[in-house]
Amino acid sequence: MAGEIANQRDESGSNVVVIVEQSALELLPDPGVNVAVLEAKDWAGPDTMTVHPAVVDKNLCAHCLACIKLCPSLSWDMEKAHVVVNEVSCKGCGICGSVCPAGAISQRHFSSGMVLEAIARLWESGGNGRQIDSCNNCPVEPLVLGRMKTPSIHDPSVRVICSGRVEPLHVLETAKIGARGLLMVDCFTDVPEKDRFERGKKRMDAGEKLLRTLGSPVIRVEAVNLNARNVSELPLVLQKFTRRSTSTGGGST
Amino acid sequence: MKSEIESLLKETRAFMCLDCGKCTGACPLARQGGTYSPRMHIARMVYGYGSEVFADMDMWSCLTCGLCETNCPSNVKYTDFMSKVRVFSAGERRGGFCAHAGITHTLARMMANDGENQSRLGWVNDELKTAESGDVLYFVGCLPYFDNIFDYIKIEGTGIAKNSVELLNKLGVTPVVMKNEVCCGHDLLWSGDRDNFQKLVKKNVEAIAKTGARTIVTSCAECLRTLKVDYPQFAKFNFEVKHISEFVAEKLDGSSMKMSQFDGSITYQDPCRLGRHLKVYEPPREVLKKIPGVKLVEMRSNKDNSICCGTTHFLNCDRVSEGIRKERFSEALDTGAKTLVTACPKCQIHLKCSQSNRMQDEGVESLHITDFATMVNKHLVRN
Repeated sequence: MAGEIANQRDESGSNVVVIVEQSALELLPDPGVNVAVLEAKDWAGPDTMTVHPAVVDKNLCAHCLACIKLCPSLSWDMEKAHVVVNEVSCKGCGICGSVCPAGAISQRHFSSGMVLEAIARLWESGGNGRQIDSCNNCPVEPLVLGRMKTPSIHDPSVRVICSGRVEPLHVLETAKIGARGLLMVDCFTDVPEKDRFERGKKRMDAGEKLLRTLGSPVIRVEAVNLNARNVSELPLVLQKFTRRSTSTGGGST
Repeated sequence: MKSEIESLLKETRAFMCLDCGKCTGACPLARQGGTYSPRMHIARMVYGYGSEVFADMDMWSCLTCGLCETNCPSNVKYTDFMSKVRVFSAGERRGGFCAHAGITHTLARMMANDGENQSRLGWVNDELKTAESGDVLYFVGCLPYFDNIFDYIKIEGTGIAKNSVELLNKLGVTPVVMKNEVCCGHDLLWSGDRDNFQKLVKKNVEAIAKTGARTIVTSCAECLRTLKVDYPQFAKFNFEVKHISEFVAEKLDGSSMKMSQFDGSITYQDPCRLGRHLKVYEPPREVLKKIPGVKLVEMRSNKDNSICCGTTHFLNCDRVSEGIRKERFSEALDTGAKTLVTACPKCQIHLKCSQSNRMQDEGVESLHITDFATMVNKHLVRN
């Protein structure tokens, strides 16, 4: 199954999956082509800033407080005896969900299952281009949107809510559908955001290492930062990345 | 369906249930305030409300640690019951919440469908003597993958494999390690995915047959249980499976090998698969006691009463699991031991994960958790 898809993609010449931070996806116009599939409607109009705050499943929470180490919006409620989310300050970046060993934290309207589903069905759409919905939570997004002039790309992309949400599992799933490369596009501008980028990158590397051990065709894994300043480089970055992934046959050495 | 359930009830002796409730009383999940009740599952199944059991999310929390079985007066095989019920439930597309986003299950499935070209032997260095065929085979399990997944909690990972092979070398054995070994399938079997499990069984049995090994040694209690108890139901083979503690205990018995000094007391955590499932209690203890200077202190609940590490097959890790680990840690601290030795890498992962938590009691952080193979290899002097 995965092999068939891979072959089809080889003929058309583009077989790269892009994991895009949500706000960066707004840069990718022409969603009509090969964009990830998931039945979802826009929860809000394109001009609205929607935040999908984190939700903690009380029954699953292991009280390990791994999330609290990473994010000031989460705290331990002594009275209720579970982790609570400050919905006012929560940006909905999802980094808490990515560290939760129990899988107790998810984003409202945006579960990690949806991301996996989107990756699994990336090439099933046949270019119908339904998108996985996510929030418009990134503070730099209004800036980026103002400069949105990029040519279309023909590579499937999945948006995750924030690069902090990227998991090694995403790399495995991408390899499963026969992709040759996985590019993470972030749009950070400040230091805390950069931490998330580094974290996402580290987790992608862990995924790549797992693939190497597994002996599956290794895919090229890269991460770039494109914010309001250098957003115009996106087509070039994608082009180069596609070339690198296909010419080297993935990142295998 | 009805006849299947009936035969399930007969096979697992569920019909013999006296409804006494000792199982629920003993269940570590129930004791931590969870809503879990083995008695209720059995009762519902027997009285024909099977569909309720299949739909019960609690069912996926069961650790299958076997503590209820030890206490059952009419010997109902609850762990077998759970393993089979989950197959039905998974058939209805139900499942538990996979911890760590289900990465271990995904890896096992990937190995089941394409695991021919793994490069899993990166940890074998020049100092280790390994072979491609021979009498004794060391089954590594998923350790090379855990290295990557759990590096943030500093588990020993392939360190266990290195130490195990070195230990076997010191005992004069050159073990076979396989490049095309796949996951034993423990997590898939217990989460109801029989199809992929059978693929793994086939691959492993064929690969082992090619090496000509007669004895399989494993340092993982889950691999041991799966290879020894579950594999024979799905495939035919003629090798025996031993945990490294059994193997070492046999070899050391009456030999003149020396151990180096260790000062202090240690305590030993019985993995549920090794202890209650396979009744291997004494061999690891015997070997550890041979290290000069070691004072082996037992925790309050030990051997067939020991508390499990709180999560099995990476399903439903929640506050109840964390509570179990906390209880275990407090027992370990009560012994005054500074080192906790366990014979299963999974125990180590779960305990170390819990150890890194912020809410831990004082003193837990300084507890040194190590594997049996690491501990013994460190102190066994090469002849």
